Amino acid sequence: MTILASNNVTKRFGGLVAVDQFDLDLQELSIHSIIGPNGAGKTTFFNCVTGFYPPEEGEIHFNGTSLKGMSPDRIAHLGIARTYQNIRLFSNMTAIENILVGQHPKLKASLIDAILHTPHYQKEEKEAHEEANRLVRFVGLVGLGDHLARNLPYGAQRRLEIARALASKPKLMLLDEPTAGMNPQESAEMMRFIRNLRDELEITILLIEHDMRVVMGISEIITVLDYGVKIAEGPPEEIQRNPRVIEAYLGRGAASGLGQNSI
Amino acid sequence: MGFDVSSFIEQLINGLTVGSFYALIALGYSMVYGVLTMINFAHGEIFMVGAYVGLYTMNRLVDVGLYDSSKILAVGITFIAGTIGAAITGVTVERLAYRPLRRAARLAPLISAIGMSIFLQEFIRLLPNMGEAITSISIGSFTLFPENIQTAVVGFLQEFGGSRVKTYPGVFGVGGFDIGDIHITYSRLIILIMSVLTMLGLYFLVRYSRLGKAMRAVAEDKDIASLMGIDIDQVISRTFLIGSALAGIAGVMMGMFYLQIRPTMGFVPGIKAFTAAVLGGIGNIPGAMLGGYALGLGEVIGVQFLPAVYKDIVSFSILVLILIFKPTGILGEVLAEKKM
Amino acid sequence: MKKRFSSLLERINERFSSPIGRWVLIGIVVGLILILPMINFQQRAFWVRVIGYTGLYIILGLGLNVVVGLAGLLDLGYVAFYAIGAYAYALLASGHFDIHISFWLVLPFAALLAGFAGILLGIPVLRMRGDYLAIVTLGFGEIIRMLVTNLTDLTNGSQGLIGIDSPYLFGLELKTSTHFYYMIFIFVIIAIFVTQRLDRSRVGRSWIAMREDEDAAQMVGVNTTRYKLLSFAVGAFIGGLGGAIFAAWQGSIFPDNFNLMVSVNVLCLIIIGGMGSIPGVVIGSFALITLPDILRQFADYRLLLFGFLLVVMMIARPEGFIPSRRRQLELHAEELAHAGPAEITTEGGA
Repeated sequence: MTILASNNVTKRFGGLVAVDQFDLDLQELSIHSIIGPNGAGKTTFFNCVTGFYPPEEGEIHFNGTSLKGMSPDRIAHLGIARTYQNIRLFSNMTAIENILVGQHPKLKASLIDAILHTPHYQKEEKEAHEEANRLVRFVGLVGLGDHLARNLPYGAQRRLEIARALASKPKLMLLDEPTAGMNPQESAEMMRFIRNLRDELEITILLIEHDMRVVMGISEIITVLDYGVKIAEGPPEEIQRNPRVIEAYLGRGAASGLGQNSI
Repeated sequence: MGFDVSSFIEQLINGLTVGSFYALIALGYSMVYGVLTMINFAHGEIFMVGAYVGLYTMNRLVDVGLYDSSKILAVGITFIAGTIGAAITGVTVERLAYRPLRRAARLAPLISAIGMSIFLQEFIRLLPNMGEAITSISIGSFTLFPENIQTAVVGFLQEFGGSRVKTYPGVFGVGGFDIGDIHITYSRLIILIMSVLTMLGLYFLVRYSRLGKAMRAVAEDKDIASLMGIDIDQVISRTFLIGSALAGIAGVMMGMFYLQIRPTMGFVPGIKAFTAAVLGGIGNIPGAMLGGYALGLGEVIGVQFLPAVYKDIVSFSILVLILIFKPTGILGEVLAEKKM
Repeated sequence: MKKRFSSLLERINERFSSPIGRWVLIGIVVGLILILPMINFQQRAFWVRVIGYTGLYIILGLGLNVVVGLAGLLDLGYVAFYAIGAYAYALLASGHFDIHISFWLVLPFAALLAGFAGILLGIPVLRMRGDYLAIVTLGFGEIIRMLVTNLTDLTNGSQGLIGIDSPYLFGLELKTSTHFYYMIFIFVIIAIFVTQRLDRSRVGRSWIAMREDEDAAQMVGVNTTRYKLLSFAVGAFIGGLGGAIFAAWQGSIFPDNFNLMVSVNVLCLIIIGGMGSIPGVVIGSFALITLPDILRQFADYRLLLFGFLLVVMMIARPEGFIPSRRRQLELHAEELAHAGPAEITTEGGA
C-alpha cells in the first residue's frame, strides 16, 4: 500500500529547477532511500514533503490526503517526522525537553490547563514525562536525559534527534543522512537501529544517504536523483549495475570498468 | 484649499533637503547592514557626535577670528572635524561593542548596539558632570587636580557637551533667491548640492575601488571573502568609518540648518533614516539614497494633508508598513529568510 | 577578568541552587519585603515607594520575559501595552469622562485590551525575525505614545489625566504607597506563579523550542503562528495589568510616563537577569530599578551605566546573572511504570 505519493513535483529557485517533475511511490513499511550527487534536490524534496517549501507544480499525498498548502506543523500532525542533515536540536533545552516538544502533536494542554494545573493536564504531563524517559532509554541516552542538547556528544545528538522525531509517533520518518560523520561501526549500529524502527515500531522510512555501504545494506528500494530528475529506481542490486547512475556519480565515460562497491 | 504651484515646489525642495539628511544617515545603516547583517542601533548617536564635534570646532574658529575672516574655510574645517569625530566614534564603537560579538547569537550585537546608543547619548549629556566629578576628587584637604586645571577641564567639557541645547551660528544666513514665484534659500541649495556630491563620491568609491569590491565580497559571504585573502576585520572597520563619516557630515549639516543640537537629536532622524534604508532596500547603496529622498518627499506631502504633529507618525507608519509588506524595499535584493 | 567575573557568579549561583539554600534565600527576601512597611524608620516612605516600583517592574519584566526570554521575539515596544493598560483604567475611572468603574472590573478589561493589542501587533510581524521585529515593535511603541500625546480629545494630550480613582477593597480605599506596595507584592507572586507554570508546560516548551529553532519547532508540529501570537498576547496582558496598577497608584498619568526608555529598562532587566529566567527578572529588577534609586548621587549616571552594562554584559556574560536553568526530568529505571520498546544498544557512541 502506498503511504506517500509524489506526482510530478517541481520546485524551482529562481531559474534553478531543484526538483523536476518528480514522481515517487513510497510503500508502507518499506525502507526507501533517495540518493544522488550533491545538489541533486534530495533535501529539497524532503522540504517539499514536510511543507517547508511548497512545490510549484505537482502534488504530494500522504495516506491519501493531499499535502497541498499545508503548513509544516499540520503535516507533522498527520504523522510525518524528520531529522536534519546538520542536526537541528533545541540546543538550550535538555534532551528530555527536546523529546517533550517532539510529543507536541500528541498532547492537548492549553494555556489555561497549564496555568490551572487541571487534573487532566497533570495526568497528561506525567504520562508525557514517562514516555520521554522511555524514549531516552530506547535510543540509548540513559543518564544524559537532563543534559542540554548542545552539550551532548555528536552521536548522542543524532540519536536524540531521532528520539524527538519518534516522540510524535509518526507513521513516516524522513531521515536526512543519519550516518553522516559516523565511523563504520557507528554506521552499522545506526543501520540496525533504523531497521528496528521499521520492524518494531512499524514506521515507514524514507532516507537520504551518501554512504553507499549503508544505502545498499539497508534499502529495499532506491531512487536516484540527478539535477532534480529521477534517473533510476529499483532494488539495490539493480541500481548498482545501472550505467546512468554510475555516470551521474562519476561523470560520462566512467560507467565502464567499475566495480560494484565503488560508487 | 487652493493649490499653489510655487509653494508646492518650495515644499518639494524642502522635502529634498530633509531627504538629503535621511539619505546620508541611511547610507551608514545600509552599508553596515550589508557587511554585518546587523542594525547599528547607535548610528543615530554617531550622527549626533558629529554635530557636537562640528559645533565645538566652529566655536573655536569663531574665537580665533577665522570664521569672520574666511567663512568658507571655517565651514570647511567644521565639516572635516565633524566627519572625523563621527568616523572615530563609529570605528571605536565597532571595535569595542560589535567585533567581540561577531560570532555570538543574533540578538547579542543588537542589544550591544542599543547599549552603545544609550551610552553615547548619556556620555555627551553628562560630559561636564563627569569632568567635574573626576577633577574634584579630593583626599582630605588634598585635591587631586589643581583648581586651574579643574576649571579648564570643566570649561572645555561644558563647551563641548552637556544636557542643554546648543546652538550653531547662523552660517547660511536666511538669504536666498527667487525663480519666478519660487523662493529658494541658499542653505537648502548648499545642502542639496553637498549631499549629492558626497553620495556620488561614495557610489563611485564602492563601485570601482578595491575597498568597494572587498566590501561587496564581504557582504556576499564573509568566509569565502576571507579565503580569498580579504582582511574581514579591516573591511568592516572601514565600512564603519565611511558610514560614520557620512553621518558626521549629515550631523554638521543638520546643525547648520536647524541651528539647535541636543544629545537626543540622533534618535528620530536615526529611526527615519533607518526607515529610508529599509524603504530603498537595506544593504543597497543607491537604494538608501533613493529611500532617503522618497521619505523626505513623502513627509512634506503627508504634512499637506495631515496636521504637522502627525509627521513622525506618518514616518513610523511607513516604516512598519514596508517592513510588513515589502521588507526587501524598492531596490532591495531578495534576502534569504534567515537574514531577516 | 571576564572569566573570573563569570566564575564568581557561577559560585554564587551554585550556592543558592541547592533546594534548601534557595528556599532559605527566598524566605528571607519575602519576609523582609513583607515586614518592611511595618518597621518604623526614617526613610520608610521612600523605601516603600522604591520597592513597590521595583515590584511593578518585576511584573512588567515577567510579561516581557514571555515574549523575549521564552519565545525569543525581540519586542522593543513593550511600553505600548503598559500605556494601553494605564490609559484604559484612567479613562474608565476618573473625572475625565466622569466614568467611575470599579478598579477590579477595569483591571481584567485593561489587561485583555492590552492582550488584544498584542495580537493585533503580532499578526503583521509574524514573519519577521530578530532585528526587523525589534524595529517594528519600537515603531509601534512610538506610534502609541504619539497617538496618546496627540489625540487630545481622548487622552487630554500632554496635560495627562489626573484625579484617577483609587481602588476599593472591602470598603477600604487603597491610596497610600503601602497599600499599593502590598497589592503589587500579591500581583508579583501571581505573575511568578503563572509564568513559571507556563514555562514548564507544553506551551512554554513550544515557545522555547521556537526561540531555539523556529523551523525545527514547526517541523515537530508546533503551530508557530499561534504560539507567537499567544506569547504576544500573554506578554501584553501582563503589561496592561501593570499599566492599570500604575495608573491607580499614581493617580495621574502623562504621555511621558510611556516613553521608549520604559521598554528599554524592562528589556535590560531581563537581559541582565538572564533571558528566560524568572529569578533573573527579579534580580534584574532590583539591580536596575532599586539600586539606582538608592544610589541617588549616581542617579544621573543611571542611563550611562545602563548602556555600558548592556555592552559589557553581551560580551562577558550574554546569558545574564542567573541564566535560566532547565528542570531535571530524567527518571530512574524504577520510576518508570511500564517498560517501553526494547532498548537498543549503541555502545559505540561518538
